[in-house]
Amino acid sequence: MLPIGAVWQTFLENPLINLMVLLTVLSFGSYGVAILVFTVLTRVITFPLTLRTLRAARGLQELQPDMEAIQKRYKDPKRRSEEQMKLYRRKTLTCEGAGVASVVLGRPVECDWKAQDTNKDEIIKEYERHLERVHSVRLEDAPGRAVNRARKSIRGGVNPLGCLGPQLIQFPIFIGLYIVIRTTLSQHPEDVLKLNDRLYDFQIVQAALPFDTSFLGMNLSANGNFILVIVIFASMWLTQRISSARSLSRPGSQQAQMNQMMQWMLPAMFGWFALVVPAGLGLYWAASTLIGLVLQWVFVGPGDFTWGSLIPNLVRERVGLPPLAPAGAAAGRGAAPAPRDNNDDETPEAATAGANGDTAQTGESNDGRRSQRANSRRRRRSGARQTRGQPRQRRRRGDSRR
Amino acid sequence: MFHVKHRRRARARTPLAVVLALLALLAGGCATDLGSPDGWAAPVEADGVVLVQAEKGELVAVRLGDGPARIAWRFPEDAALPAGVDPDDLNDIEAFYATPVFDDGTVYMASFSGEVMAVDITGNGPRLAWIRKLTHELVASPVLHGDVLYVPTEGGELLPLDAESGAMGESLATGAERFWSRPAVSGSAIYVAGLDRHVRAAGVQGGEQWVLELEGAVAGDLLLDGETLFVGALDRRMYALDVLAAGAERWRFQGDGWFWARPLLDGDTLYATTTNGSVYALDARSGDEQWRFNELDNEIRAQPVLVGGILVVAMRDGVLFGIDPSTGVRQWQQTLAEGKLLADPLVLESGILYVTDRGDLISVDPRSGATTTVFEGS
Repeated sequence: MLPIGAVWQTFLENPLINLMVLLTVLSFGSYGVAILVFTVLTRVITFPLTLRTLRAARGLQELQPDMEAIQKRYKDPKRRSEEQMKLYRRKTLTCEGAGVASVVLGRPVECDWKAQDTNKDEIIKEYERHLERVHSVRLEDAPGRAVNRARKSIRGGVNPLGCLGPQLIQFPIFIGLYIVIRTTLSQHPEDVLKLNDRLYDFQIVQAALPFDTSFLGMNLSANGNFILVIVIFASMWLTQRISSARSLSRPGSQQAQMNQMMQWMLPAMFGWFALVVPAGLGLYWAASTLIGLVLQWVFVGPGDFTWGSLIPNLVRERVGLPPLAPAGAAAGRGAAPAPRDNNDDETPEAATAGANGDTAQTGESNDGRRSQRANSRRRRRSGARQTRGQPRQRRRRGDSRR
Repeated sequence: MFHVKHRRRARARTPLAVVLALLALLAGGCATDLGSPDGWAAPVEADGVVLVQAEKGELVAVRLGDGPARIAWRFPEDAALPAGVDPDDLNDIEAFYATPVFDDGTVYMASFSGEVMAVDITGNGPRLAWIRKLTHELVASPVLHGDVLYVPTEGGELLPLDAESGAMGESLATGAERFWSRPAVSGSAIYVAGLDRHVRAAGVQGGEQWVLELEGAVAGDLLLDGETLFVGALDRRMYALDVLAAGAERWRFQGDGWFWARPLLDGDTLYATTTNGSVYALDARSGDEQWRFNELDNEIRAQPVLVGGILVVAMRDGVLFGIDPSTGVRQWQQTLAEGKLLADPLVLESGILYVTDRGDLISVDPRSGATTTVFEGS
């Protein structure tokens, strides 16, 4: 059996090194362009994993208020853990169900319902009862596709390790890339000579070395490129900012404080890292982070982040703009603290419902993409509906629960 | 109550912040500079001593005799400095890739960190005659022609330095990049090849004569024989160029790996080695292969030598082969216990001297392959 080092080299490092060399040849000898192409390729290949990670993170964020409610509700750690697992396993038909209701009713319907069951058929039945109760519409009277759509929109719970799995799979790839860039960038004669061992026996690859390491005025093999450090810091900060904007944690909660700290610590850590590695690796990190930012923006959305929110409150006061609420505050408002009750026999549904508070706002909470401004618009609309004689959904849901 | 809550939160955050900070430090610690240069300067005989790079950036003059070898002096440690030279200037010296040049009591050295120095060794110890710090790193060995030391640099310059004073003239190469190979000089022309895949001919007094583009970079030292310039390249080809016909190609030979080591010419036979561990005997006039020897897939960087009718080849991992030069049949094989062999050997009457990457000086008997460690470096 091959030693682990040889396996790693043969099946990961060497293919990547040769790919990198080939890309350099195809990039007209520019190692910098090759790194950028390499980064794009890597992000494209790992995109399904990235998307899973983003979705899993979003799922966990959506459960945050419920989790907090369970933590407060149950003192017994075993019971608490069971309830948490139930919560993870719970199938959900949340805001996507609103789309179904829109089809049935023929008018836009706000997200106003959240499944509490783990059985698909039960969820449909529950949803039918909800539509009948709240909107006076029977799902079976609606076009057949509405039922199908409702079924399709039922998701299979949240895997708490959903973020971890894809990260673990990507980990060896990132380590491999790090070694590849270090190996191929080294410009000392001994290292170039050693590369001979790693190259495949193709003329196009063999004749490519050594590389020109200058790119856009940077020496890619030199350490400490401050421009890249700034780019990495800024893009990571923005990524964290957008992530925390989607977070449903209450302002001031431990989760919110953690998010705020990560917003600064992670970019600082990677900025420092970029400072002490060759600029080629920094270029990879910078490009990768920027692509990640774009992917997050496009596929998950910016949350309540707006460019205007980058203006600090100090400046806003001076120019007459309203002050900013803390990130995640809009969503967090929906997550009212659960009433303290030492009755451990209370159902988790009731516990999470208590945590969710206002039902309509919980719907908003579950859709982290809605902005703070959108929330206030909805509240205004809700108020208008009330004046037109429609009772508020909160009261109705409360009634039905009773 | 509020304060207690805050303190608890702060306490909860502290371990995470510490872990992140430690991770950052660890990442920084692991992510050191790319591999540091070691150097592979060949040993040189100079006035009864052998100059060896025993440690990175340090040359040791070893006096060989019947008894154990002893150190005559060390450079820069024992060097006497002329007025106006700051001792700190010598502290920056990194590794030596360039083989020192000895001429008339003076050793010319070029360090990777860019110092070019002339050291007078006619006295009891080394005396620095002059030092010039260049802006680029130096890998290629300089050549001395007349009173001029020609120094190729990583920046693609071919700088003429007055051997007496160190005064520097204009670069003889323009538009070039990264020289790692020692130039060849003949009469009024100097030939140099670089990693930019170009071979250049220039007048020793200046003025470009011709430029030829190859398909691969050139890292190995050039060999000039009359009108033929032998150039080994990283495109796995050995080229024979006619220097009088603007570098017109006489022949090219396709090998199985990079031609990095300087080839050896003996009569009409050219012995060339590759980084895939092959030794080729080629007809120097036509480039036809006479035989090929390959018993081990290991890089050959050191120049092969022909001593006592045996062709001796050293591989990077310390394996030595004695080969019959007419048939390519192995005569003996020897493996060093420690050290890598990357530097060109020095042929003395007593045998062949190899210096390992540890700075050990190994004497090899070309007839039997017996090895003796004559000096232990670092």
